[in-house]
Amino acid sequence: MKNFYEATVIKPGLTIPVKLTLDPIGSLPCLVKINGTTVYENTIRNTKEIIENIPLNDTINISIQIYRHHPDALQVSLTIDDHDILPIYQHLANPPTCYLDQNNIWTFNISDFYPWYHEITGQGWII
Amino acid sequence: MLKDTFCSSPWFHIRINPAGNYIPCRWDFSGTTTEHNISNTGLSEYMNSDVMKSLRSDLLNGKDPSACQSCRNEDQHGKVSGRRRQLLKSAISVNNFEKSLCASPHWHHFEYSSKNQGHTENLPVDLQIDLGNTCNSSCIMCDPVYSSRLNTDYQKLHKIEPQLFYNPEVIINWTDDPTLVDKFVNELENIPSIKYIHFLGGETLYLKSFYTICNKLIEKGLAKNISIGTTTNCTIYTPELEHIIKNFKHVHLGLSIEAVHPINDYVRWPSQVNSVVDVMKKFISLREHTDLHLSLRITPSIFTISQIDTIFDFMIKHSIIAESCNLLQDPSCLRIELLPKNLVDVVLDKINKIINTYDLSRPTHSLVNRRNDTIKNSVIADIIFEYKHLLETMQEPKDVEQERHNLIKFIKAFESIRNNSILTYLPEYEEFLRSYGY
Repeated sequence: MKNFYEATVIKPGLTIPVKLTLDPIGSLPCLVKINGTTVYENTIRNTKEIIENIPLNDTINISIQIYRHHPDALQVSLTIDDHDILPIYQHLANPPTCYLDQNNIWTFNISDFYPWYHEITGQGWII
Repeated sequence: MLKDTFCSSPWFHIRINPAGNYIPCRWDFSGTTTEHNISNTGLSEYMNSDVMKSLRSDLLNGKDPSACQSCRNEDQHGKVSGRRRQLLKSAISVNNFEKSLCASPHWHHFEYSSKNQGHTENLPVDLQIDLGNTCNSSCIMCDPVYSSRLNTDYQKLHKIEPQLFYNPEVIINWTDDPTLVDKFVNELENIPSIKYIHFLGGETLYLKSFYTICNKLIEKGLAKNISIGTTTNCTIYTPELEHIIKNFKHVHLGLSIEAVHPINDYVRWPSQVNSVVDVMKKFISLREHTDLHLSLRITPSIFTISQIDTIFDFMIKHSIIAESCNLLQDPSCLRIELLPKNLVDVVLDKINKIINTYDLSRPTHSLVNRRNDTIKNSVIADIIFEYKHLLETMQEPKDVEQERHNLIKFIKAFESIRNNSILTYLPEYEEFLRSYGY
């Protein structure tokens, strides 16, 4: 990229891979949505990897609904554009965990990934 | 490539120098000024001056403006340049340039300027205000533009060694004119975007205008939304500073010192290192019960590098970072590259002793935002390793012999008006200095 005008050409096509890894403890039905689109709806028995490419500036809303019986659970980990996000920032999920052992909807939302990542990693204020 | 030249600074930052002239950037050391002065141009007006529009256009076009030379040099030497710090304020990382530029919250500002010949709708957010050169110190590595006391000394030194010391003009500080100070503060009232003001002297805490401007901003209710920063030579502690710290959103204080050793007094004449350390400890104590952020501003010279371990020890014991691994370039005869290898090895031994004593290891990734308190220990270690690496890899400049002779002339001129001797402070340098005519 030699100048800003090339950046304006590149920008609309840029995406970031959102990689969600689901590790079941036992087996349990689950419904996974990214930005409102169902990306997995089945009973999960083995580790499942889901990769979605999201436009650079889009919001990233992940929701997971599980239907479990004790002691089944689901462990979630997440990388976005190869940056480790979960479990590191699990305190920002709702509820604040990435070990899902309740039958309510778990969500993790980011408004705009790179500015969010800048702030969350303590890179200083954005002017 | 754009990632090697682009900087977002001109979209939010400008500087005013001691004479009141506008400068595009705090890291622009080209010395170039234009007719734009605080007496004839407003802050907002300067943001869309020909100078700033042209700079933005050049940066968008991937050019390498001369005003950016200092950052270019730092980038090439792997240092954390001002450009990289300013880019971070737009959430742009050089290591992931393409995506972070395109995702930057400031993208639309860049895009607007690209379509409007460098014009911006932004108002300034981040200012550097040089209040003037009034200073109570006459540091040998400083410049008369930044020290009134050194300015007076240079008038004498010019007569002794005219080739090494220029005959300085007397600087008239723009802040000596109360109407300009009022104009400046009144204009800030109409720029709600201002988030940060960095004040520079002279010795800021010795300058009345520092307190005048701060107090006016407090009175007008603006201070609570503004963070400020400044640098002090640690010779002055004023209780008024506590009032300022409590009323501004955030205060950052840079402490200028090169060694916790009497050599600091020789270089930062006529300071007394014991009282400098006392003042530093007062600031450290103030940090405990206020929102004061402290860092050291160290710029070692051929003399103070010999005791840099004392500063590292102080940093570790008091949990205080240094802002960056600065290198003194001017006066060129004080550069650390002129130090002979046997003395460099002595310094390296001292640094290695610190590293071993405190069991330090170098962080594995570049720490650009060094004011992040959660990584303070890593920043301190990083600075120490940066200086170690620098000393291990630096090479003698081509003009080393000439510059070492200049060094002797330089210090003899100073010593003739101060009646002191470097050998009182650094007897271990005697053989080296004598061999060049001391």
